[in-house]
Amino acid sequence: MSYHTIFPTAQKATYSPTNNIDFKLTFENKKLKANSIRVSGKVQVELTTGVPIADQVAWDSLNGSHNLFSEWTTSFESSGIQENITDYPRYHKMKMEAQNCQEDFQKSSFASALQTPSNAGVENVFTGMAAADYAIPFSLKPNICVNNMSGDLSFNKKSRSVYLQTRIGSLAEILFGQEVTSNTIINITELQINYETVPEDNKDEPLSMVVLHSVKQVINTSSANINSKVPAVVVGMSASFQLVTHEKSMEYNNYATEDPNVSRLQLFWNDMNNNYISFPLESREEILLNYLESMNSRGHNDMLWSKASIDLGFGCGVKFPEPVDLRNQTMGVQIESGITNATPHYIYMYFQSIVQV
Amino acid sequence: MSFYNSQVKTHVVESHYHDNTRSEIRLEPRNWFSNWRLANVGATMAGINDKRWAMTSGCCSGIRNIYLYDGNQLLDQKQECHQHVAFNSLRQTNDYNQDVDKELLQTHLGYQVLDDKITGSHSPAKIITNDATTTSTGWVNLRNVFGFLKGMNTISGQTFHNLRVLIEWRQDFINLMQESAGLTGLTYLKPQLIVDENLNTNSKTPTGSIPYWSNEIDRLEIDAVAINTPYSLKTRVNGFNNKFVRRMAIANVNATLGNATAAANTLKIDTSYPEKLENLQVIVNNNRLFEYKGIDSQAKKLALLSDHWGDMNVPLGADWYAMTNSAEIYNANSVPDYMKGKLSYYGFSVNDKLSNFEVEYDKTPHANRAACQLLFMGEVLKELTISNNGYVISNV
Amino acid sequence: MFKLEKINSQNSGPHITNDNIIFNLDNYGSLDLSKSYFNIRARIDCTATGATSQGSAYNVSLASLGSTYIPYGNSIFFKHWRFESQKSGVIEDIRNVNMLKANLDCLTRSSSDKKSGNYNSISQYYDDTFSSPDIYGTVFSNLHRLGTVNSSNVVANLKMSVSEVAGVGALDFYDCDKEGLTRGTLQLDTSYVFPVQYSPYRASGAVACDNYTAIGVQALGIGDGALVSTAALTADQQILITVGATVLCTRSIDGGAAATVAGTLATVNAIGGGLFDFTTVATLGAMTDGQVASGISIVVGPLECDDYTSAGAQTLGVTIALVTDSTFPFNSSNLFVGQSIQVYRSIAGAAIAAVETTIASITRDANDNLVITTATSCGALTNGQAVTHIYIGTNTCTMDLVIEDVNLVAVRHMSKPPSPDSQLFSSWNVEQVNVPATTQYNHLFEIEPSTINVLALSPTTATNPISLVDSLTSYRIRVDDIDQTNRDVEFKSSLYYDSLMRTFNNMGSGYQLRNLYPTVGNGVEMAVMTSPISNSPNTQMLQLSYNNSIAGTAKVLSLYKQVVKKL
Repeated sequence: MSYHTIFPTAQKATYSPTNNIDFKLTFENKKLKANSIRVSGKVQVELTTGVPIADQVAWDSLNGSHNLFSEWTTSFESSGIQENITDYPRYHKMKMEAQNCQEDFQKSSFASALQTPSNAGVENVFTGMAAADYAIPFSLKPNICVNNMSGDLSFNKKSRSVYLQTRIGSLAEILFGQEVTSNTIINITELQINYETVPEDNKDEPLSMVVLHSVKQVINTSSANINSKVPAVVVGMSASFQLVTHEKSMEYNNYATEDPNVSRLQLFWNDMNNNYISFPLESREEILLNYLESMNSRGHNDMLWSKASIDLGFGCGVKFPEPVDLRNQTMGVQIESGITNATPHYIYMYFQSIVQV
Repeated sequence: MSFYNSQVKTHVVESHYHDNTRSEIRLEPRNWFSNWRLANVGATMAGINDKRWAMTSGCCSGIRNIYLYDGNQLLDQKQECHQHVAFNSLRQTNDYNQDVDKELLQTHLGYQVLDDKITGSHSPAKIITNDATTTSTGWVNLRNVFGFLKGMNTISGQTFHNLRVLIEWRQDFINLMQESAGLTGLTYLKPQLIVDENLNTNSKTPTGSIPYWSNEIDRLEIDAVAINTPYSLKTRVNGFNNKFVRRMAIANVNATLGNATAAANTLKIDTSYPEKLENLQVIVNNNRLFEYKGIDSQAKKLALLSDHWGDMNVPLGADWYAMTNSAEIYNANSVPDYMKGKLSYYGFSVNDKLSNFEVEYDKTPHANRAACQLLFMGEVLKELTISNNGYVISNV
Repeated sequence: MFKLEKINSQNSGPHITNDNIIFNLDNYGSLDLSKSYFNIRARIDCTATGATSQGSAYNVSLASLGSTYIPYGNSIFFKHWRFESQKSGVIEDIRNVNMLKANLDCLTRSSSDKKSGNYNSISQYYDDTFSSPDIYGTVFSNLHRLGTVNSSNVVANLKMSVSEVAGVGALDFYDCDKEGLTRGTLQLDTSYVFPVQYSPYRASGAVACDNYTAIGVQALGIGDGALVSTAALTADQQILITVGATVLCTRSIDGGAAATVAGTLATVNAIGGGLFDFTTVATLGAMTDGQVASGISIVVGPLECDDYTSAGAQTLGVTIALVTDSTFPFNSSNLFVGQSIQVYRSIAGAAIAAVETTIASITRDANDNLVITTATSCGALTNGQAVTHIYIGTNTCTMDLVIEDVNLVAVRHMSKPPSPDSQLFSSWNVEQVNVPATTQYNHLFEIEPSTINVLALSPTTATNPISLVDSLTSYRIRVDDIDQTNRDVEFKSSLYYDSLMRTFNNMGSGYQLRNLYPTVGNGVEMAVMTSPISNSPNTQMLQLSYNNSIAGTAKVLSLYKQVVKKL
């Protein structure tokens, strides 16, 4: 086994919001060990230069340092783009909320990514280990296709070089709170990717990856019909909502899973007469039940009524009983909700597909 | 569907020898399933009442070394057992620590989130008293202690004639408790072994080779280092030479910290301390294991540990050498508040047979540091080879 | 490939305790019962009492007598389960299944499991009513703690997997073709739970304080017993006044202008009969001989009220500015839009009768303070008057739990897979005996063939299904004259846990022991007497003996026997 560290192709001392960053992984005559790619570095958040955070500045706590990277694109030298995820932190937030309760955040893989169970304590994360030492180390495993593989990836026989492109989010995407202004500073240093390889065994076995496709649309009516098509055979769809005026506002959490008070939901694909769910979902409980299944929840989640009462902690979705080809047909979502023309909402839909490499 | 049938009989075996330094439990030469459990693990105190075991090692705080013998043949062992148990307790889920091991192993781990702050678990820590009828007793799954037991389903009396478990108890009593003011002595209870007998006379340990993983240790002494003084050590660790090591964990043990009586909720020895500007590079058979500088940040240290040993039940900040302000993250004076800066282990995979194992270790502590140890805990591959003439245990 | 279909019960609701709720499964195709679940539609009807203004919703939930919180799941609603088919006759018939499952829930669900069920279950994960997160909303109400949308009480959709009550719930293939018409019957039981309302405050009158008279030069100290509530808590009310809450002592001294002195509660003691007495950290100010304090009130956190001052002829308008103790919404108050409230003020020294109104909106201002507006004005002021304090109490209501309906969401195979020759599953039989109050007891039970485990439960009251430790010290189980352990199993000894572990390891994958510290609140623990049983084709006799430290209470001892069945 070998442990590798690489730096961005355009390496800098400091990275800032909206920077685009490229990495190239080369591991000739080796295999990339499945799900071993990590992004590490140090992040420093200050109110203004030299002024530490005191209060009322936060990032989405369930995401931690995942908030820093708003987009991910994965390409193979041999076959081009494999995955392009926009609004990556939103999907990661949905996954965290659907698969963990607050107590589950007391674990090392979350702690190393600076994830905590509550927004209330984030300013303590930003003030770090010692006074005037506010550069906090982080190491996260991005939820991208090469970290969702069924086996090791051969350089020689499958991918050749692997290219990872990411974008550091804007200030308003990453942070929120009353004290966040355009003078608030986020600096990232020592940015690197760590990954592991194993020797090439020359076996060309089938390898599958879970690939995400993201679609964003606007709903501005209480009874909406949304049709979506993605270039993939999908196994599930999960969606979350956001009031349009809350997007990148600095006041509101850009990755909050807001509840537009959905009263009825019906999902259509293939032949409507053979639909998987033969009845409309008319309660929050039933909608969430199917949403949590679509997010592969294993029994723990953070969908508390205390969050529902402030219109948070919501999603909708379905896990298809068998793969559905959305390359040549659409999936329909009928939603009745509290959304109006005066309160338009975004719906962020993430389709999960399984791809053979 | 069920395991227990007329072919299974459960025995509770008392210690054949027991004093305050060692205990020995012997088994008759029968066919035993390998799911052995150690019960009645506990102690009473002299003079005072109401103390608690070390948070991470629980009732195993008192076990210095534990051995599995067949006659004089050592089958498996765990030296510094309390350190291993502490490390392995952290590898359990939050649920398991909070709701199960609190009662079984009697650790004090697991966390809740109340009013958006992280706090200790809901159930109270177990109490050691001065009375054998009221003191709490622990239960230990020996399959988690001896890799030998994990390697096979049934241990045949035809092959192993004189099985015995030997426990050596710790005598540095003040290091065993969370808080030790007024403690003058401990009297260990007589442990019991609970075993299930396989009454199927056709069952026996098959001939051939059975691999299993055994935990072995080695140590490096680290000198005392003054505040903000760079320290560097480059040396060989010979305890794993000519052995196949799967994974390695390294603890930074402050050996003298526990000598003073200390306040409640102190972790003392069964823990691992982080350091400022800490860096580790490992050289395996003359090749550097990690590119660039090595493991050069707390986050990478914790992430690597997590990737190779599984998730550890630690809150954010437990691996930080200090935390400027924790008032909004933790409830003040709660268990996680005491944990911060005390749970930082190295962990990584080696997957190689070692002929030369070196480490380069650097730190610049943020406070004066007394002399300490780096404790290396390695998973070593052993092989049990059974033939009609008996058996042999060897390193692979 | 499979699909979900909703099957209604043969007898539509609403249902009352002891109603049999019947489901008929058609005789075609096949079902995956392991993924199927029941949907229980339940609501709590609330009728305001005592006040004229009625809000749009009440923050209601369920509680259990004998527990400070509900540690079990939705299976508590069903006492008996029966499953029978044309071909096989009675496939299983589990009596008192809710008692069994309530106790199993305590042992097989960790704290995080219970917390995660919050969105579609009545179970609670908090062992402290004073801080229960349910005060921020439950499955029975659609609360809005921010904004202007009115809250409402709703029908809860409680999910209960078929496997939570039924052994056949383990079957991923049930051949409806082969079995013919099939009937599943649930008998409803709502006796273990009752509705409660969570209130942020008690009504003013219930904690109205005695006047305090001092003689001589006195510090107006509040000592033990000097500050006493005069009205008792009723069964459906809870006190949320805790140590650290602000006490405002408003006094007119010698009949003159009122002054308000604030203090902090140091102790809150229940003195029986639903009454409390209070002490403060420091005295509430000096008085001279003959002075009398005219009134003392308690303002409860997390809301502390700003003083409100107006000048000129003013209507005490609809806006009340309140300060929260946290800047982020998750720590907000448990007030909600549409809540019926009573606003208490004293103006220029004279206490004003409470004004009843409802909350119209809750928002946050630039300083992250909560701003609450009321639907109607809280009364007019005249020139120069000042409001010295405002606090909020909520109105009470009567509550009724209504089970509207239960339906089955069945998972049906779109194309039927090959049918196995037979399938094994485990079910439960129960044998019950009345036991007297005694320090030693033993009884002989009959164990059916194919029994693999036994669980002996002994709840101490008819209203709490959990088998509490009571005064149990040890037990021993003997099967066909063979002791299962070579000594008594002492409660909470390592042998007790070993017996539990062996029993649950023997139960199969559907039962995993995930909680060894199950309590029903205030540290009251449960105790079960368990043993795995050697699977035998013959009937066996089991002798259960146990010892108590004191005679305890007479109760019903239930021996549940897990039996392997073949379909």
